[in-house]
Amino acid sequence: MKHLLAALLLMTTPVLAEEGHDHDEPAHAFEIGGLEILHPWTNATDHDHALLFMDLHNEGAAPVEILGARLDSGVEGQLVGFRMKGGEMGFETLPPIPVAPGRQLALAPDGLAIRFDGLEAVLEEGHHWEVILLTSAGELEIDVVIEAEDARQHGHAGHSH
Amino acid sequence: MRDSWDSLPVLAQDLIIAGALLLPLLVIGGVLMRGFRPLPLVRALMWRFRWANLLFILLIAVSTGMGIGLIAQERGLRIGSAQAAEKFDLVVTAPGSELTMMLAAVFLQPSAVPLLDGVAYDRIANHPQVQIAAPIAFGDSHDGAPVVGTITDFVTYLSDGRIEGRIFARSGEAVVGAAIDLQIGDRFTPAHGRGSGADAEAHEGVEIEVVGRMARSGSPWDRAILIPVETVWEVHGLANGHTFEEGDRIGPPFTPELFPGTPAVIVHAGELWANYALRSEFTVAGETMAFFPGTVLADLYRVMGDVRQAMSVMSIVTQVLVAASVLLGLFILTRLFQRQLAMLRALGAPRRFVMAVVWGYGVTLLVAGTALGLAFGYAAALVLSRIVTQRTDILVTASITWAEVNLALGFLSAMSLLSLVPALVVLTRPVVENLRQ
Amino acid sequence: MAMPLQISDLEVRAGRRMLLTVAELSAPAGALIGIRGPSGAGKSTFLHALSGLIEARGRLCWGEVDLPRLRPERRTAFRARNMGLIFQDFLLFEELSPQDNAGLSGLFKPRRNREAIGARAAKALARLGVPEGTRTVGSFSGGERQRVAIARALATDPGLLLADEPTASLDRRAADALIEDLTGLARAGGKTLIAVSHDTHLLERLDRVLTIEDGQVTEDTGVQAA
Ligand SMILES: Nc1ncnc2c1ncn2[C@@H]1O[C@H](COP(=O)(O)OP(=O)(O)OP(=O)(O)O)[C@@H](O)[C@H]1O
Ligand SMILES: [Mg+2]
Repeated sequence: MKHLLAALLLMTTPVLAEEGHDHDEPAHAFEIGGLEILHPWTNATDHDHALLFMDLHNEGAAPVEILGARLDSGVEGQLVGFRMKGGEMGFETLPPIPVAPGRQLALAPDGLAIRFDGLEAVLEEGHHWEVILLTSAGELEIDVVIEAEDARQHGHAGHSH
Repeated sequence: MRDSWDSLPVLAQDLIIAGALLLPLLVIGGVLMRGFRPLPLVRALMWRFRWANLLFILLIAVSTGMGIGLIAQERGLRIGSAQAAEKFDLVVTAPGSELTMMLAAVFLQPSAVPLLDGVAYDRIANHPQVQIAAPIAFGDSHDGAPVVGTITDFVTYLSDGRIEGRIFARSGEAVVGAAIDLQIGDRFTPAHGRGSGADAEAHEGVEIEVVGRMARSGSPWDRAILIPVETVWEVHGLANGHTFEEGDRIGPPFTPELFPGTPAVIVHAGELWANYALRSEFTVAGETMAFFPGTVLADLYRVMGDVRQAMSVMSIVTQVLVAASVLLGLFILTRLFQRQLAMLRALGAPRRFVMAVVWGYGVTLLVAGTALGLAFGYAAALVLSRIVTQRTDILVTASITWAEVNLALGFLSAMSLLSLVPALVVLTRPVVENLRQ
Repeated sequence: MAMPLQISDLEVRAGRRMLLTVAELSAPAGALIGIRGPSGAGKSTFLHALSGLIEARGRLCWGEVDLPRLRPERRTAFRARNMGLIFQDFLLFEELSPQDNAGLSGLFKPRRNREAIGARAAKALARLGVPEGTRTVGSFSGGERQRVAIARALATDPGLLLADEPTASLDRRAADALIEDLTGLARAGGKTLIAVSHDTHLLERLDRVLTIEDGQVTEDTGVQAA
């Protein structure tokens, strides 16, 4: 029934454009080559696969490509896009996506994500998850917040900072 | 184990599941009937209690059919609506409800929505990743069908180029959807508004000529009339997006200052990944909102999924009640048959044979009811699909998949196990007592 | 194959209540025996004991086989092989043809016996003058039904025929005709026939008549003909 509520909310409230992220806690923001990474998060899971979400802003002067991600253990995460095909929901593997200077890119449920398969450990709500983000500007270790199993957005969404 | 299962083709998996579900039934049947011929007596029982049997079979069939029809219909609607929206990768509108915007822009449901201005459109149309940025202008109708203003690239994209006749080339021409009752060469005057409130006289003097017809797509666009967006604006006495010097040219680029506004821009990107980047970029606080109709549908389907779950629970409860009443009926009917069964034992029939007869009788009812239920379910889905298709123009196809078949088989198998109970109960009373009655 | 009967110290109880006691009784193979007595005396109970349908104590030997000592399923198998039962109210499947009713045992007997059972059923039906055809026995008269029941009892070629009031549901004429056939077939086949009946026409045609009263054999016309 939780989906029902979420979808009803979606139907009745106008979807607001993303709010500013200017005063985020430092722990939830990372930066590499001018690319700012905000609120990386994922859902708690005991499956061996997970989707990684985040907001990206290119504050630099050069485009940065998002290539994917990997874990310390060597497990690789691939860039995927949610697609509705023939009434079935699914994900499609995507090539690297560039973020032009001054532009932003959201990785969010039912949209873009970085998908991990073959995880060795379960992801527990409230814990953190170390992931290495792969970009054309280099590799960056980010700290991913593990939200509830059924969360549709990160814990800070909807706050007006 | 898990890997080898996953590597099997889906059909093989379904068949294996179906086989596994039927296994208890086949094993019981095999064990009970081996070396015996209980069928003539099962037939005798079927005939003796034919009206009661018919009632039981119908009861099982209706309860099974309801559940199956519901699931099949929900899936049909889901697939149909997803397919109808498949061409709409990304929609950009003024901020508002994604669902309302999707219903208006993709499913052509009439609604008053705010407009995007020429600057916003320009920004979208000139984005390097954007291949088609089609303004959509609606509000007029003809004979109940929406008259939608757009651009030629979009018409070509929407119909995959499958157009009989030709595409519109100037203001005042139209391409109609496959379900529209107008012939190439026909002329019509659009009415202002849609439905019962449409005003037929508002656009008097305007004549639009049909020059082409799109192939069927199974979407509400089959019942739409597509005209140049300029025509819509002109008919309403607005600027048509072009300067005077441009003459009669239609289509982009438009002059932002002369662009009267559009409720939605349908965006098609050159590459798949670009859609995701474009969604982020065209989502600008207070100005524009970009969404994937697929995602909105996915949210809707989650709701439908929950509703379906609730309905499945209800239909399972009905099934269980029906199962209970059928079992009770079996008890009562086998009671009526008890002297004959005792006679069989007196003649020297083994217990297993008597069980085979009673169980075979119960399972015959169940199999007949389940098979009829699958047919009922299919018929129900067929009728519902037809109604939904007629009302919405979303092509909904009814189909019974292995999921439903396996559900029915699971029910059948569980019930066939329970049917052993009346068969066993018959044997608990001493033969002589049953003979005496 | 008919077998001699040898009974000693037979007791049938229902809980505490003694329904039947038979101290000594014997009969040669092929004897035709009648049982009479007032209602509730234990005649049917005796027949049930003879067919192994109820638990009994003591000795009740058909040939070498001491029936009360067998486990229930073995008794059932013994009955299937050696006995034909006939009931007052026929107990036929009204939905089936006479042939199917008469060949009923073929449905649960081993495959190899089926054909023989079917053939014997057909022969018995013909011999008893049961109307042929596909009509179900639901439309048959009482006399016709009891003939089908006799054919059913004969289809397995049993050595023993046990009948409980076979003529009680028939009118005089039908009963007389049936008596003729039943005793005739039993004698011709060398079968032992034990029939519970009040029908003097039937009892007259038998070798020996036992009277049971209050769970005891009180009279035995003895071994006159045997
Ligand atoms: N299971 C039982 N428990 C208690 N009493 C029983 C049981 N079975 C039979 N009886 C009693 O045993 C007696 C003998 O019954 P049985 O059926 O043998 O009589 P019968 O001589 O065949 O009578 P009828 O001529 O009326 O058929 C009856 O009084 C009957 O009520
Ligand atoms: Mg009696």
